Amino acid sequence: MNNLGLLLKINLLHLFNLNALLHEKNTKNKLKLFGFGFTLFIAAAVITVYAYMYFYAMAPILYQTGTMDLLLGAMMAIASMIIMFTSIYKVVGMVINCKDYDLLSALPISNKTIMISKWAMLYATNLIVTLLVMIPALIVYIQFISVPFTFYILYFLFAFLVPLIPLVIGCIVGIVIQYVSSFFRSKNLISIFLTFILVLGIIYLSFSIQTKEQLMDIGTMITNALNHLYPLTGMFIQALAHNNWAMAALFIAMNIVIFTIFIWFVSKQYQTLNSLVKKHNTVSHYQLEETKSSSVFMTLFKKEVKRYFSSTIYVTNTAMGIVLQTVGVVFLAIKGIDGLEQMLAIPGITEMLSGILPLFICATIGLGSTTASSISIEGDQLWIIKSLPIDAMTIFKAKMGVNMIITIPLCLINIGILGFFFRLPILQILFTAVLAIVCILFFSMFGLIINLNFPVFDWVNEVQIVKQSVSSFISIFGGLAAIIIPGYLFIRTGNMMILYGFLGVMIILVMASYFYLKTVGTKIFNQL
Amino acid sequence: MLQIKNLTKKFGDKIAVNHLNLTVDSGDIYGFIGHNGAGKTTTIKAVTGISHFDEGEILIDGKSIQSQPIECKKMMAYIPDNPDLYEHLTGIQYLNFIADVYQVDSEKRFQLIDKYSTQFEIKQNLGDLVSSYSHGMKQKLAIISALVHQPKLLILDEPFVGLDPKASLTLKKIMHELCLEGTAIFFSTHVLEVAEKLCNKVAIIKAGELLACGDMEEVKGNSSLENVFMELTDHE
Repeated sequence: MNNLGLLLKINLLHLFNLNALLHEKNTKNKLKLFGFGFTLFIAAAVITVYAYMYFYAMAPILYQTGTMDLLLGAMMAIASMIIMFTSIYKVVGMVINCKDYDLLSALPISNKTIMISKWAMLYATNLIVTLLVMIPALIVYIQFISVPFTFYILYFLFAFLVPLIPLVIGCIVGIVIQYVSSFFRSKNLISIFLTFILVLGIIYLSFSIQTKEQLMDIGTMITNALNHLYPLTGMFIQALAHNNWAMAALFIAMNIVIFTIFIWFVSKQYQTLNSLVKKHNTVSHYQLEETKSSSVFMTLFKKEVKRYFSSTIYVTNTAMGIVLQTVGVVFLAIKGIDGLEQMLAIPGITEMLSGILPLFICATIGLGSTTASSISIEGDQLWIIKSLPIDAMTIFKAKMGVNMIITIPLCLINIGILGFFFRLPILQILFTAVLAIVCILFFSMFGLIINLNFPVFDWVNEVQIVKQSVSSFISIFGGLAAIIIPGYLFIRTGNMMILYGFLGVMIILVMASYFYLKTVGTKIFNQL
Repeated sequence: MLQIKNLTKKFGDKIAVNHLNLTVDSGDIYGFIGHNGAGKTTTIKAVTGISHFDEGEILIDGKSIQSQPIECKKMMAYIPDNPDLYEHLTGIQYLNFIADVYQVDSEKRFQLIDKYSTQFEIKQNLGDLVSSYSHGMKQKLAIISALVHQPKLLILDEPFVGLDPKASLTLKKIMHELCLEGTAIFFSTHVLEVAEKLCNKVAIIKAGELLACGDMEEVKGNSSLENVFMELTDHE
């Protein structure tokens, strides 16, 4: 086997803990790994179902107006945007500045081979994402449009090509962001800031959609914009929907040529790129000063906060909920509740305002907790807190404190804004605030409990623990499930007692979680 | 200061440490030597409370590491063989973090950080992120962080690995000073000449079992520690 084959084999064994599954002797650990695989499967299933529902919702209008090809364009736009956006923060860590870069570059393996092996893993994970979007789109499309056999051949061939250019763009942006931020001492804050600007831009586009007709207008606008900026979308649609073989050939050729040029360039500059992103700003003339001492909790808490903000992926993945909440609040403040009713197409939603707003607040809180990766993120440094005279509960409180400090203040401000703009009664505002705080407390503890039971310390890239771990999946889906049930019941009945009951249940869960952490959680931590 | 009684640690069916008994008194510099995989790090991690053990007892100044871990850890400091420190902190932030955990007052920590960072020649680098440090610099920072709270028991796992000759000499001098002040030092090493010169007591471990332990002069007799070690570990 050549070097590339060897590296690909090593990387593949590490993907989704495959090698651990094959060689793990401990039954309990093996079951955990199977659990992880099962969780991944469920997550993929949920994404597939959601994608199907999304395309199925737009299909009838597109069919009636003879613009079903826009479904293909929308599918490509969605897949491309997801890949582009996620590649921005994945490229550093998965392709550039990998943990094993020093080890591999000391071996008789060319930089090009190392780079391609890393790239292949990034491509493989994004190909899965592409298929999770493209397959549901295909199923919807063929229900409305009769297609020849060649359509299927081209479609699946294109599925392998669709991730290429978005990966290229995402990687370029990711490297540029990392390079720009390397000039600053607080480089991660710069990186986080730039990433959020991108995210908010995408969200702004999404919030521009108010009706299905506007969705089509936006769809046409996006497709035209993409055609202009990303001509491959037009080629994609022409090749598939209109059986244009010339466009098919051009689409294939352009993907391969652009990708090949990019790979050639990056492999030539691989060593330089690795040096660039590793650049450190050192001062080396530090003057020692007397510093104030802090309590054990405060010093731990400050350490956790610094750790949190030192990782772009950690912040962007976990703060997304509160960012979406804030954007949603601003949207509601500008557009009013009528705008929301139009957008969600749920009649009578205005009458349910007193319940919808707390549910919206809680749903965004449940989207991600910092604690779901807070044990795993200790990684090789776990020995530090384990060897120090600190009890487990103090460590847990410091970790939960991070989640609370990034969510509670902004959450309360958002509730205040909503209360002001919608002239809510003071009791309603107080109820929403109490519910939000209780939910934040619960999700903080829930994330920690899950991570204690499913820790991962041998990660090489933070993406593995923040986005691809059992803990993060269970935390997100658990959070959503906790809100969906009362949300559905409330929308069906409009009865506020549902929400009061929900608050009661959450309070009980908070108490139970605290007790668990104090007893079982502490034991688990001490045995890590 | 440190009493290890019948310590046993298993990993599945493999016995990593088998009924180990050892005592480190105040003022001892106790060398712990053995082949790779002999059980040194496993023993050390059990002593420092990082890993659990299956049988036996570990007492730090009479207190059990299992039932009173916080009280025990307050008295000791641990320096691992691989200094995986918080890379997102600067050197001084890391030192302050450790000093805060041990509740070292401002004046005392300033004095000790000043003293040891000068001795190890990294004072000017304390404002930089740990991620920018070389392996040796991280090792020095880990050593300073262990000394800043004046522990009664200092546990080091191969402390001289990665240190330049001057820093190694500095560390040996510091260990002597601490020993004279009554601190107990327990460290593992592969460098037998260092153990022979530095330690007043030694323990030799192989495949989880203690082959010899006691005063250095008694263990090595008229021979060198290296010869004794090779003889014991080859014949067992």
